[in-house]
Amino acid sequence: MAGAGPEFRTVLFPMEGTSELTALHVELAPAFDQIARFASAPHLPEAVDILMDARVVDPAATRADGVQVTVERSGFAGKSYGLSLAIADKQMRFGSDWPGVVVATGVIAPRGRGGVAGIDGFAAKVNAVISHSVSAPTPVAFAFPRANWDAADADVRAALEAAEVDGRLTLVRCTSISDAQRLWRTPGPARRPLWAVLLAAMLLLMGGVAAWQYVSLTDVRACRASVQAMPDHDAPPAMLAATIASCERAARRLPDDGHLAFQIGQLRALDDNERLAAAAWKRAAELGDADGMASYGRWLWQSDTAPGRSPDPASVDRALLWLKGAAAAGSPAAADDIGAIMLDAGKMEEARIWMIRAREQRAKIAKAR
Amino acid sequence: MRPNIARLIAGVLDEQVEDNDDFDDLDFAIRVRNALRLSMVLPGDLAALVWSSPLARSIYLRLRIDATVRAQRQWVQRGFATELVRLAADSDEDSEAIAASGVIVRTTRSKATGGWIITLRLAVDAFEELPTRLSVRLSDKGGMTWLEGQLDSYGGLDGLWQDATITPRERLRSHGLTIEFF
Repeated sequence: MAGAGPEFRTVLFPMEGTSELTALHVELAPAFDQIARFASAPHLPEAVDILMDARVVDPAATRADGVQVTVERSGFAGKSYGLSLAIADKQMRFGSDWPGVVVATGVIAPRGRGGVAGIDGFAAKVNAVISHSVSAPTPVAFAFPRANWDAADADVRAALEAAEVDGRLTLVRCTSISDAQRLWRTPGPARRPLWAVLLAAMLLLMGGVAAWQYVSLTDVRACRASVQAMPDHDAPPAMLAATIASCERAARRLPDDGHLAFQIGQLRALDDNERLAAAAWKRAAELGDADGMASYGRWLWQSDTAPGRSPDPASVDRALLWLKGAAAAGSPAAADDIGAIMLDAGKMEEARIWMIRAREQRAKIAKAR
Repeated sequence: MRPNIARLIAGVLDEQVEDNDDFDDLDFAIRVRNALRLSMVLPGDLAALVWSSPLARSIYLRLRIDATVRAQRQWVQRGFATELVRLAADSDEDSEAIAASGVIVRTTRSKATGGWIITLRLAVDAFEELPTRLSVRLSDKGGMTWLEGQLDSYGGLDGLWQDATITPRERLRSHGLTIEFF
């Protein structure tokens, strides 16, 4: 997710029947993070579904980031605003280096793995965009379906190409939402939650005594060193693969080391391999590692409440078992997650108790430092 | 639907004459009743009959009211709230949660527009027993409607705060919220 970037991102889209462009804004809404209905969007009842389809190309851990969507004008029909919504959403969550205005029109294909489908009234919309580009003070990127480009009349193509040659427009022809990726920053392969990064780093430092007991084991040393050398984001695939291999070798030597199993889970998650990550977290949890219990519980909960999956109360119960174990072992992140589960279930009083407990545990950890 | 279009359609429907001799009203009523237990949006074949037959329309409207009353009654029987109270602990300057059993209402000030967004979300266990696409109304005890419309497939509904003279928070100081299905 973008750090201290702008508070919202705006992408313009042309509306049928008018020569003006309308603004669509996206801002972060942490209150909706990681819940099935992760977006609030007045007058846009399809927004959650559109975002769900557009986010399939994003790292799994970011697909339920909470956002809030508003439009300057309501009362329009159709889903041709989908591409503008998808781009503004990614710019907001991942940041953007594009220096100017973005205008977009196109349908995000339902269950189309990020595909962008054509729209009606393309020629009229092109006219509106070109008119806007004449007076725009900054460069304009115009994203639209490649299907419309392929089917467009020669004069429509010529007008767009002329505007591009003049430097007023940058044309972004999209078969898939990924074709517009120059308009936002590339997200990391999988975002490690901040709590996991902090806890892992702290435990790596504080767990020195435990680590030294197997300092003679080459593989373990190599694993630890590799983990410490890993960047927070965008680890080169080869480095990630080597680290995983090193830690797997270490785990074979120390099969009962819960924290090692937890770290392997983190590495597998970085590698976008949810199945193997979950298996490693489960192993760590069963070995009594607090981070492992917290991660496995969180995975059970989130995989149950992930968009498109039917919630299974039994799965949430299993998640709660592990999360409560982790919270009892001092994990504030687990207490936070339990609070969120309670909040989601409308159990406000219990939610408040767990959130207070998380704060207290964080304060305790900070004091211990 | 825009009011003038709704009036136009109503005028056309009022002029309709029942000309479907094969219409089986009992069979239709049973099928509509069963369908409304799952969703307030009828399957295509039943919806087509509602549009084409005045008798089917009359039966549907009655059963729709029955289904709504049933949903509201079940909601109450299952212990979910019809009144919401402000949750001061979960509030900050730009956001506020108002919660009760089975439902959370959040008001958030948009940084992009400066306006307030109202979001209603039913808890999963509260929503799963209701027919989908049920209409919901969130209003306060002073008679102001905060939100009105069909729940989406995730049990939620969003809207914009309409009254520029007062903020949702100020309004909540003097008026509690109620939720009803219709």
